[in-house]
Amino acid sequence: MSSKDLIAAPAKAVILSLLLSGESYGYQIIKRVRRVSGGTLEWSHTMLYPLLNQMEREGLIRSEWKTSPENRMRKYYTLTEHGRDELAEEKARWRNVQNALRKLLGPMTAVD
Amino acid sequence: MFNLEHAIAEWKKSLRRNPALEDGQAAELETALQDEIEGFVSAGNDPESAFRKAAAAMGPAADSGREFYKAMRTRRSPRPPWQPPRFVPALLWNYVQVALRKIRRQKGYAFINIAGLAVGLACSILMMLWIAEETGFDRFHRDGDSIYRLITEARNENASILDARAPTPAAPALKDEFPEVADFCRFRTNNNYGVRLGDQVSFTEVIGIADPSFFTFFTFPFIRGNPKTSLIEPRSIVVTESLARRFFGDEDPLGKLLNIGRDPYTVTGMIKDIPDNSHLHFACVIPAVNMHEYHHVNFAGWDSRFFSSYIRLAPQTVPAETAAKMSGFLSRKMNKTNVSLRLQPLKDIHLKSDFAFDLNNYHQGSASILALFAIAASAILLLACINFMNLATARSANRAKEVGMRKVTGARRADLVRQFLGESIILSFLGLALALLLLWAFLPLFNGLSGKILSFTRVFRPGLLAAIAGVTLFSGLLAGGYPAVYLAAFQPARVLKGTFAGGERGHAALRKGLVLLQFGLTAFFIFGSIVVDMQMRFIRTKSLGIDTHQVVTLAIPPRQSFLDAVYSNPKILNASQSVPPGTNLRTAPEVTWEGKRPDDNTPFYPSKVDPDFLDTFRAEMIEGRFFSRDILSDWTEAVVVNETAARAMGSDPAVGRRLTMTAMSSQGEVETRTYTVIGVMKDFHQTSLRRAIEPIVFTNDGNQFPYLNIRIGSTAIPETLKFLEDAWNTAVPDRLFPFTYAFLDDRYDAFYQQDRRTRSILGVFTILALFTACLGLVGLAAFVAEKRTKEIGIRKVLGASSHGIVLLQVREFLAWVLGANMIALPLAYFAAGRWLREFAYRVEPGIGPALLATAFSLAIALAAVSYKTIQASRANPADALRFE
Repeated sequence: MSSKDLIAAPAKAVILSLLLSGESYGYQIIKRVRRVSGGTLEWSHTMLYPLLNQMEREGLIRSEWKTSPENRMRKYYTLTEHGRDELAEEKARWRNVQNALRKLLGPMTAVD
Repeated sequence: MFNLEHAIAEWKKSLRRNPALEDGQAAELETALQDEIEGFVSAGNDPESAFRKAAAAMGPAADSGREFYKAMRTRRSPRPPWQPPRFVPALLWNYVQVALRKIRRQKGYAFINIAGLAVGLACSILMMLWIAEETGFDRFHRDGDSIYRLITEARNENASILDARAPTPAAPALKDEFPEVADFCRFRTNNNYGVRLGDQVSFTEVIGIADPSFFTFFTFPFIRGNPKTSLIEPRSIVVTESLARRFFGDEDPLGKLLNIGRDPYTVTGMIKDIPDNSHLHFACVIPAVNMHEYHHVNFAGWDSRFFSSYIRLAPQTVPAETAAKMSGFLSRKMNKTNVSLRLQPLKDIHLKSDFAFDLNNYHQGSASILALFAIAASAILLLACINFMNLATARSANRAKEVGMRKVTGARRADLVRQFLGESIILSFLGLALALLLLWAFLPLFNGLSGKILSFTRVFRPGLLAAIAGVTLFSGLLAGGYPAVYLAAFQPARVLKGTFAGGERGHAALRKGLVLLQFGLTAFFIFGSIVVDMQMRFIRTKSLGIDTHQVVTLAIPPRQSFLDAVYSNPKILNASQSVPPGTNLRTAPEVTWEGKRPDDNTPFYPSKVDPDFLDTFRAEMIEGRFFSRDILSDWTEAVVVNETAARAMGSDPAVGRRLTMTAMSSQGEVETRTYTVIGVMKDFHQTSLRRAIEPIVFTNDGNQFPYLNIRIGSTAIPETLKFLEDAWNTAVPDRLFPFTYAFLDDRYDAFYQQDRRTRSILGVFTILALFTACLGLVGLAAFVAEKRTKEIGIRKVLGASSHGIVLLQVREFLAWVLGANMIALPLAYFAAGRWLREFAYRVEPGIGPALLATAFSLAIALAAVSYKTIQASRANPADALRFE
C-alpha cells in the first residue's frame, strides 16, 4: 500500500466526521485536514472532489450551490441521516483496525 | 503584464476541454481554484505566483478527469468511452481485407513491389546460405578454437612471401620449447602415387600423409579402428568409408592390404567420409615417416618445407602472447633475420588463405569476395525497398480518403501506422514465398556459376530460418516505415474537403533522392561489371611472352623408353624436360654476383630447364645464347637469366658475369654453386598477372625434374594424346604412375578461375539490380503519366505532338538517371581501381566504361519509362478532358 493509498483509505470517515460539525466546502475541508493532522495528511483536489461526488451519489452527503461571504458561488456539503449512520459504522471499523494494529505493531509512542 | 482574470479563463478552458468532467464538476473545481488563489494572495503572494501555485495545487485537468471517471463510472471497462480502444479485433480482418483488395485492384503495383522484394530477398537468402556455408568450415574439430596453422613469412625489402608450409622440424621443436604448445600435427597430400588392390588402381584418390597424432589432433569420426594407434605402424593406412567400399565392398576393411605405389599398407582404421565443410580432404592417410623414403624428406632440415604444420595451444593460452613469444624462434633456428612464423586460426583457413604452396584447399573461399556479394545482395534488397517507398508515397492520394475516414471514425495515428506497416509486412512475406521459389529454381545455376555446393534444404535449418524471417520482417519495416508515417499524418479535414493532393510537398524531393540512390547503386554495379570484364579480356589477350597454346605438360617418372618414343614422333614438334611456366617458383635461399650491393635482398627464383625449353615454349633470347646440348660446361656451370634478373644485377651487361646461387637440389639438399651467365631471356609471365615478373635464373638441370612439356602440331592433338597414353602404358607396364596431362593454357586459366566466377556472379547481380531499379522506374513513370493525364490532354489540344510530350516526361527521368551516374561513377571508379591494384598488369579503365555505363543505364531507363509514357501521349485528349 503506497502512502497515497494510506492517506485515501480513511478519507471517507474523515469527511463525514468533519461535516458532523456543520456544512463545509472542498477547499475548507482540505485546509482543515491539513491543520488538524499537523500537516501529516495532505489531500489533493484531484482526490477530494471525485470522492465528494461519489459520497453524494451514495446519499451520505448532500450538496448545495450557495453564495459565499466573498460573494462568489460555492458548493457546500452537509451530512445526511444516512451519513451519520455511516460515520458511526466507519468509526467502529477504524477503531477495530486501530486495536488490531496496536497489538500487531506494539504500542506506538510519539518517538516512533 | 499578468492578467489574473485572463489566466483563470484560460485555465477554465483547459478544464472544459476534458471530456471526463461534467459542467458542475468543472464549476466546483473553478471555485476551488479561486479559493486557493485567495489563500495564496492573503499569505503574501502576488497574483501571478498565487495563480501558478494554485494551478499547481489543483493538478492537471487530465488527472482530475480520470479520478472523476473512476469514482463515477458505471461500466465495467476501465477505459472511458471517449478514449478509442487499443485493439479492435474486427478491424484486424478489415486491414487484411483492405490490403488484399489493394493488391487485387492494383495488380501492376503489387507485382512491382512483390517481385522487387522477391528478387532482393532471394539474393539476400542466397548470401545467407553462402555465408552460413563458408563460415561453417572446420568447426567440427574438438578444441578447434585452439588449433593454429603455422605460416612461414620470408621478408625482403619489397614484400613478404607467405608460405602455407612450415620448415619440417618447426612444429615438433615448438612443442619441445614452448609449454603453451600442447600438441602438433603435420599434413600434406599427394595424388600421384595411386591406391591399388591387385589389378584395381585409382590415381584420383587424394592420399593424406600425416604425423601419427593426426586422428587425435583432428576430429574425424572412426567407424572401425582406434584413432590413437591407427597411424603408429609405418605401413598402416586409414581409409574413408567410400574408399573402403570401392575396394572392399561391404567387407570389413580392417587388417586388409592396400598398395600405395608398390608398397603394401595394412588398413588400421575406417573413418566416415570427410564432411564438405573441411579444408582437409583426403581418401586415406598414411604416416609421415614414409615421406622420407619416397621423397628423401629430411625431417631435421630447417630448409625443407613439405608439410602444412598445425599446433594446438594449451587451454588458457592467449594466442597473441604465444605468437609474440614465438616471433624470434625461426630466425634463431635458421640463423636468418628475415624469416618468422605466423599463427593462422583453423577457422580462418577456408576464407582467409592467400599463401604460396597451400594445400589444394577444398572449395577454398575468399572473405573479400563474400563481403563484396553480401553488400551487393543488400543493395538489391535496398533497391526493392526504395521501390516500395516511392510507389507508396507517390500513390498516397489514393489512400488519403481512407486515412481521413479512419481518423474521423476514431483511428489514432498509431493505429494507421500499424495498419500500413502490417500491409508492407504482408507484402514482404508474399515476396519471401516468391523468393524461396526463385531460389529453389535458380540455386543449381548459381552453384554452377560460383563453383559452390549450396543446398536449398539448408534454408529450413532453424537458425537460418529465423534469420530469413528477420530479414523479411526488417525489409517490410524498412520499406513500409516511411510511407506508413507519411500516410498516417494526413489531416482528415483537408483530405475530406478535397483540398489535398497527395504525393506532393517535400516528399517529391525525397522520392527523387531515392531514385538517384537507386540508379547510383545500379551505375556502380554496371561500372564494376564492365571493369571486371575488361580486366578478364585483358588477361586473356595479353601476350605472356611465350606461346602457351598446344603445349601439354606430363608429370613423368624417369623412363628413357618413354622419352625415346616421344622424341621420335614427328607430330610432336618439341619436347622439354623443364619446370613448366605457370608454376609458382620458390625463391633461392641466396643469390650473389660480382658487384652485388651487400644490402640488396632482391629475391631470385631458380627454374630448372633443358636446352629445348626455348623452342618448346617459343621464348626468345635478347642477349647471349641459350643452353646447348653440345657444350658440356652448360650442364653445371652456366645459367641464363631473364630481363628482370639482368636489370636487378645492375647496369653492366649481365652476360659473362659470375653468379653464385644456393638452391635446393632435387634430393632435397641445399647446395651452393657458381655459374657464368651465358644469356638473357626476354621476360615472360611465369605466373598470374597479379604478380609482377620476378627475376628468374634458369639452370640446365630440367631432367632432374619430373615434368615433360610437349608442343603438339595444331592438327593432331587427339591422336597425339592417344599416342602419348599408349607410349606411357608401354613404358610403365605395371601402371605404377598415372597418365595425367594438363594443357599449359589451362594452367594459366586456373589462376583466374575465382576472377571469372566473380565476373559471372557480379553480372547476374547487376542484371537483378537493373531489373529491380527499372521496376520502380516503370511504376513511377506510370504514376506520373496518370497524374498528368489532364495536362497531356490540354497540351495536345493546344497542338503539342505526341513525341514532344514523350520527350517532356522522359527528360525528367533521364535527368535523374544521369545525375545518379554523375554521383556514383567516381566512387565506382575508385572501388574498381582498388580491385585492379591486385593485378601487377591491368587495364586503365579510362573514361570508356563510365560512358558505357551511363549510356547503358540511360537506355535501360528510357526503355522502362517510355512504354507508359508513349501510351499516355497517344491517348485521345477528349477522354482526358471529359472529367471536367
